[in-house]
Amino acid sequence: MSAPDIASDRPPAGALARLAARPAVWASLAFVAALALLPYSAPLFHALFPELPRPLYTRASFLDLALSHAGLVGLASLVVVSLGIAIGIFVTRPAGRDFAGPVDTLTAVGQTFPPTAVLALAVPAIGYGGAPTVIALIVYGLLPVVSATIAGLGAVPAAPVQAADGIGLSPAGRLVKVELPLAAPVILSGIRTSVILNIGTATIGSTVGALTLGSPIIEGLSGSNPAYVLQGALLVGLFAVATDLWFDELERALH
Amino acid sequence: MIVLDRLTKRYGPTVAVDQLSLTVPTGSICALVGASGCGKSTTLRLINRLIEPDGGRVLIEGTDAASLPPVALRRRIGYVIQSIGLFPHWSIARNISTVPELLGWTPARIAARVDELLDLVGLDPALYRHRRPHQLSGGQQQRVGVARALAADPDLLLMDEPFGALDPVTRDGLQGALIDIQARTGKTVVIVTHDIDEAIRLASRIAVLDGGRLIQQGTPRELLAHPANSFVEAFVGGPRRGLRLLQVTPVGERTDYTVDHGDAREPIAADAMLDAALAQMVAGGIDRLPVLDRAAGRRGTLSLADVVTS
Repeated sequence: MSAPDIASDRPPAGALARLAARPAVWASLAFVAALALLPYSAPLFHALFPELPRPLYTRASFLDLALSHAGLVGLASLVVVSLGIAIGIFVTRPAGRDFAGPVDTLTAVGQTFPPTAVLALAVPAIGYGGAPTVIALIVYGLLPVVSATIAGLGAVPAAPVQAADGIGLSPAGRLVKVELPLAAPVILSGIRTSVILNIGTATIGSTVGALTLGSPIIEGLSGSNPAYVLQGALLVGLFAVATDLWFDELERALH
Repeated sequence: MIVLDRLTKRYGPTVAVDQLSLTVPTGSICALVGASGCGKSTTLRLINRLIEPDGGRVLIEGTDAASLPPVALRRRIGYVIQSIGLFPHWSIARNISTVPELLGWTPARIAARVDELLDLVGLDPALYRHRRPHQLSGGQQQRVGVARALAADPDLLLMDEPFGALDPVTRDGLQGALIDIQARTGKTVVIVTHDIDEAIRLASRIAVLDGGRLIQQGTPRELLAHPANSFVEAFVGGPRRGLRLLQVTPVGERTDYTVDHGDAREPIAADAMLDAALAQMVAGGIDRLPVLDRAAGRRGTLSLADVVTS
């Protein structure tokens, strides 16, 4: 057996060290640790809030809340990214250029429209639970992705596009091989904004019966239990920070 | 052979290209020259159908370009632009292999072609293959631009002011490279330029455009010796026209072969141009030069009077 084969059986030298140097790894570990340790933190919250009879949220497990929260945000983001990029592409093509203005206005309205109002409107139509929450997140999260796609495609330098046409790339080939890769960093920053916004916004889904990390917050607010609010907020905050740092990694990998 | 047949392009009330007819023989370099907005770039873009004409036809080897799918047509035609437009996110090799990849060449054939082309444009494949465009100078980037245009071995090469953004020394090097490449590959080249010296140096035929119309076409010598009107005369040099004429007139034409100079001085070649002969006379403070016509195996004498009077 040759030397390189033996070497490849061992973990790559310094891989752990490199992993440990990443803030995203630490933030994720903190999030996981908080999820794992919170169920055992009753004594701590008893000490912090001695006036509360039940200072630890137990109606649902924090892990279930986090998984459901991530699922709702993930589903909404999947739709937001595919729909947002598709819209951004459409209005920057010759065929869709006339729609650029109206689409811009519409997505901007989507973001100024309060997500709570979207929930209030959606519930009578489709009932309580996760579905109205996902709809609200989609409406709310679309703008950053659409505008980043438009901005990113608009900022692609003219010369490579001109050359792509001239040497015989088809319009679709030019988009996929030249325009989107060159616009990718800008589009990714829009996706990052959208996802982070929605990790926070998803908490309000708990007002209409969705299971999210907002559930302890909402219940804590209505039941005057600041310990619940603190537990929910801590987890949402760590989730958002960890996700944001992973986007940071991704953006750096792209450059 | 490229034939432009009464080609017309309008933008609203403006006629960008007006009933332009022009023939570019296979294996020649044709320069389209004129001031900004004369329609020369528009004409070039009509050939590979980046824009569609409002009238007239483009015939490429007898086939009407309008009858071919535009994308397929462009893959058969090399295209080089002033802004170069290399794909910044790809290596030099991948940039060059864009069209061969689209045409479904095998990886081995593509890799061999990339190295061949880098050699052709004077860049060491081992050194440049894996570099990114931003790691190259402007002149090197345009060499890659030319290689990319030649990648699928097109018979026709369109160049839109390819060397216009380069410094004079780099431009001179690339012009030399183009002459060399054309001589070795026999490509038909249509080059747009506003630089008459570039046109004189590169082109076997020059077409002067003004206001979308073809004003005059001919060899560089014909244009310099007999400009059709004052516009062409001004364009080809005005007061410097005589000096440029020296650049395109071979020494042999003015040499008196009945007189052997008999000088020990190194003779000038009969196929050198008169400007080089004049430069030697001025530098040496002499009014006669020995001439050697190697092809015909004869010697003669060029006098200063022969240089200036035909």
